[in-house]
Order: sequence, then structure tokens, then C-alpha cells
Amino acid sequence: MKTLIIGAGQTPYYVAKRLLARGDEVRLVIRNRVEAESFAQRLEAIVICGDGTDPMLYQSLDGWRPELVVALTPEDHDNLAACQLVQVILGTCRSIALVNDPDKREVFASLGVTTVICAAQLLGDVIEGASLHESIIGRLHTPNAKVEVLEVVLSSRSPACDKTLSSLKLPAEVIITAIFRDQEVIIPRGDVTLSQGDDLLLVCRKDQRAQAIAALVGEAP
Amino acid sequence: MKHDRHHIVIAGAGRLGARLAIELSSMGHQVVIIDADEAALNHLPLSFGGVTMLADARDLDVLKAARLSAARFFIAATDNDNLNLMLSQLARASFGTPHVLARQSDPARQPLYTALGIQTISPVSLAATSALNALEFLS
Repeated sequence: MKTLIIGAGQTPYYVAKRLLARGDEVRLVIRNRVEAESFAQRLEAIVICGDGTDPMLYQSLDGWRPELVVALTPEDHDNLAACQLVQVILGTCRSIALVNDPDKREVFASLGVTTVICAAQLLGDVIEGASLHESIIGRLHTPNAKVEVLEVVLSSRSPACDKTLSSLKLPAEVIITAIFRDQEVIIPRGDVTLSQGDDLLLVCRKDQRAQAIAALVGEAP
Repeated sequence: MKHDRHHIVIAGAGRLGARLAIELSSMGHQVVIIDADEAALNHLPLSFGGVTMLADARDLDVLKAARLSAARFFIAATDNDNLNLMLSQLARASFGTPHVLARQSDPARQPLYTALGIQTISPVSLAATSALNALEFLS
């Protein structure tokens, strides 16, 4: 995919590196000259030194049209302006923006940003999950506030160990979607027996979380 | 929520923001002016009849505290064009402010504002226009 990355700091470099390794066509717009020069030397990509929210900059693209714009600067307003500008002048339809403030996620989406990523939100979700129970190692909000995705690891004390899935008393609106065991993925079926160390991915209603956690890993210590 | 036609929120107490706040307040409007820089707010005269808020206007809670949802006008007058563009869109999308105005220092960015339907005030364009008029008058 033709991707334009606008940003500062190390994130644009590593994102570009990964996309290039996949064979994507990547261009970067980096404001800081030292960073831009360093990235240009280390990446097989065109790096433009400039302000990604300056319309004049895009004249230097010589007709190159990205299919995706990714805005990774430290400021929310610069990321919004960059996404909107590229969408308006280059007609790019898809955009991804980093946002610092979780409260701006929804409004950025309503202003045309396709995907809004908030590190504070992601970290907060995981930290909250960890504080709910020691066995919760991952947690993700979904677009619906009532449902969340949890990653739970079974310990030796977990009541679900050595039980089959069909014998578990899970609440109705909690689903085990995958089981990760020894680098393998096990598709959850009724006859699968759980064991210590299993890493479970759950989709659950938040109001049934406590029951689900109790059934799988026991009460919080 | 009903918009109070006399309630005006201004983000940024630089020269333009402060001047507008003073003028609008003396015209009888209820003005709330927000700036994160105390020195900027201190430039407002003691006679200023509006409310000053020492806070960061990027924070939605600050805009809420300024009663932006009740305001009929919002003016984004900080010295940062992109910030003004974001604030004016937040005012319209999150607070339903009927009239928003964004200060814009780089006239080259006008097409983006036009595409997004944000009304702008450009001190550079205005100054250039008056200069040209003055030159024509002099010649």
C-alpha cells in the first residue's frame, strides 16, 4: 500500500521500517532536519523534511498519491490537520492519527480520521485490567462500551485448570475466542481441556466480567 | 442546549484575542477568554468585564467549564494555526457552537479551512489588503 507517514521521534521510523519490509511504498514527512536526514540514510524511502500541515509541501510529491496517511506527530492538532489536509488536497481516503487525549478519539473520528490511536487509552485499559486481577495481562475497549476484550492467563490455582470448556460455568455473554498454548492457537471447542499457562482471549460483557474471572482464575487474592 | 447570544468564548489571549475580548465585552457580551499563559491574561486591562481562565483550551473539560455549549460564538485566536483549526472544529462538532471563527496566520492554508467550512480571520491578508489600499490612495 502507498503510505505517507508524517511524524516526529522514533515511531515514524519503526512504522516505516516495518511497512517497507512488507514491500509497501512509503514516504515520510519529518519536520526535524537531523531526524529526516537520519531516516533517509537508514530507510529505503523518500524522506521529505518539512511541515506535514503545509499545503505547499505536497507540490513536491510530483503526482504521487498515497492511499493511506498516518499522522504520528506529538501534537493532536497537528495530526488532525495533517490527516484533513492530505484528504482534502490529495484525495487520500484512509487516515490514521495518534491522539494524546482519549476524550478526542470520538470527535477526531467524526471529523474524518478513519482510525484514531490513543496510547494513554491503550495503556490505561491494560493497567486497569492488571489492577482488576493479577491474571489479566491484556485488555482492550471495543467500540461498544458494554463489551471488552480480555487476555487472561491460567495459573496453577485457577479453578478452570483440567476442566473441559463445556463443563465451565461461564456467564452467557462471555466467549472464549482463542486459547494460546506453547506458541500454538487452539480453537475453543467444548471438548478442549484447559491447563495451567493457557492464555485465553475473551470477549465479555463488562457486567459479567467478575463472574467470568471467578470461574476461570478464581477470586482476586 | 439553548445558545446564549451574548455568550462568547475566546481561546488565546494574544493581541487579537485580547483586543476582541475587550471590544466584545465593552459591547455588552459575556466573554470568557482562555489562555494557558498567565502573562498573556495579565495584558487584559483591569477594566475588562469578562471572565479570564488560566487553562489549556485543548482540554475538552476546560471548554466545558467555559460553558462553550451555551455560547453562540467561539473564536480560536491562539498563535497556532493547526490548534485554531482543531479548536474551531471541536467547538462545532462537540459543543454545537453555531458560529466559529479561526485565526489563521498562513493564507496558503485557506483552501483547507474552506473545504472544512471553517470561517477564518487572517491578520496577514487583512494587513496586506489595507496596505495595498493605502498605497493606491497615496498614489
